Amino acid sequence: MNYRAALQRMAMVVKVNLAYRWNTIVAQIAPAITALFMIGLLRVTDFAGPAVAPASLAAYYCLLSGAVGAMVPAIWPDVFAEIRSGRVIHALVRPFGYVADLVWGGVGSAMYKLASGLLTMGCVALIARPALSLSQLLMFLLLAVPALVLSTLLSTLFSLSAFWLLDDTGPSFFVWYLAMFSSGAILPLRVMPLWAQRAFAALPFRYLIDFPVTASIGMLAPRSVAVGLTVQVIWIGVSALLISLVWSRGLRRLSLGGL
Amino acid sequence: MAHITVDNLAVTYHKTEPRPGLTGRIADLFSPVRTQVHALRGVSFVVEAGECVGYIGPNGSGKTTTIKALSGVLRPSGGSARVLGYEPIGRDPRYLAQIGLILGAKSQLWADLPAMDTFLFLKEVYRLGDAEFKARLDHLCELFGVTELIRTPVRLLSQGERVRMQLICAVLHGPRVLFMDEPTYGLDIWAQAAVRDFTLKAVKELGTTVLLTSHNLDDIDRLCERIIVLNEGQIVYDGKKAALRAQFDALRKVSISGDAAAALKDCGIPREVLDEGPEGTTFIVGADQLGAVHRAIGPGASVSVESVPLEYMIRKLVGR
Repeated sequence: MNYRAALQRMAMVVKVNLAYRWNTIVAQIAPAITALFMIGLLRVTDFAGPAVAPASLAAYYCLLSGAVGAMVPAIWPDVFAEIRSGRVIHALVRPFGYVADLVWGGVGSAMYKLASGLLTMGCVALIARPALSLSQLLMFLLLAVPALVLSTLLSTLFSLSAFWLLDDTGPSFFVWYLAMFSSGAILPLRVMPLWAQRAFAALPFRYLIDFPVTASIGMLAPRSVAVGLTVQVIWIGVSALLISLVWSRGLRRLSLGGL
Repeated sequence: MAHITVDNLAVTYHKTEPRPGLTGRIADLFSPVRTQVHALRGVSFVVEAGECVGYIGPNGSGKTTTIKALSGVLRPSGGSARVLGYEPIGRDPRYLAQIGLILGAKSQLWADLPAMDTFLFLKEVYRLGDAEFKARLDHLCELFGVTELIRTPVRLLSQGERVRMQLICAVLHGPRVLFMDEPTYGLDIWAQAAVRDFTLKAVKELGTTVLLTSHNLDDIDRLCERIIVLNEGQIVYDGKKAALRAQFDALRKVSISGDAAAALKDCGIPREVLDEGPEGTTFIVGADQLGAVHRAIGPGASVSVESVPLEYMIRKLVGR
């Protein structure tokens, strides 16, 4: 693996995002407003019930405000547009493959989004004053890294559907919407009915938001954190394997059918 | 030593033919109509190290398909291809590090970033040292006259400037084999000249092997001693340009101005008219008929006689 090229690719994505000026920050405003709304709602209603303490829930939404943009699989990248523009062909003829290009670019993009999310997270913390310590925030940032990797891999996996559909926006929207619901981006999973918790536990999305957030604010026992980390790593491996399979199929289709 | 060996290479793929009308398109969702396309039908040739070969033919003849197959993008459905001893479709990183691909109409630059960022990425991809990278980049920027532009976002560059940056991307790592597909596409005459100068230098000074496709026959004429002409996926000519010229040595291209051209109307000299209008006429005629042409138009008429252009030869070869 050419790690210097990977780092350079990540740096390029950050530079592209910086070229878009305040674009990412603007996108972060919506989750921040939602988080403030949910924290406000918590103060006037008991929507979470006895499952979660209100103070923990406020901390949950504060972290969520900066993490959603980075950790929920985004509709990115538009693979078929990249096939049409020639970027895929150019990537195929250099010793740093297209998938590496996608994955490292995606990780760079997610890290940039998380970094800019810290700003909105700070604003939410200043306004709502949740019970969130610095050590919890650091723990969250640590646990966010594998979540970002998993999110990027899932984005990449679904974007490869462009080889069959010519346009990946359908599957990408599907996975984004499903992920919003089942990752804990709207409600913590433990607030949901048991059947929903069981169903969502079988999907990888809970390891994007619910697991890193609940683990960092102390809602999970140490043993559950260890199990969660293991399952997260397994999902990363499974996603990477699936990407490899789908990519080889897609590439075969591409290389047989022309570009 | 052969750098490119192509033996009976065939590329066949299926394409879906959309049915007409809305109901036809809905039916396509369930049972698409597939037709087979034979892009290449058993192409064979060898390119020696340091050769610059013009690979030409009309649209759809299979030129770009060949280049994609040789650069490992397309999987051949038959035959074999070896470049620098590697099977291209294996996309061995050691192979990819030794080839360059220029697709005139397609870019690997990031529109919102300066070209320098792409160059820095390619430096790491090809594992170039700092000094080597700087020397190559300085040389290429000077050659293409873009030194002042490499820190400008690509979207703010003109089409010609972008193509020049694209060329630098393709050759920054010093490839041993260069596949050039329409390299002068969209370039002004100065940039076209720079591309030609660069290609000549690459071939003569660095010994780079070049396979060049272009609809601009000036590129081919100035750069390539040998040409391969392709039509409908098959080679119709493979040889020295001089040998092709020799085949047409008995013909001349004659251009005559308006007034004198009228005198030729009913003279009975067998000729193939290429262009006719109020300004004059241009035609191909046997060299042995030149005396008769001069007699027919009389003295004082404006006449130019040239050897047959490459474009005419290619048209004859492909029969269009």
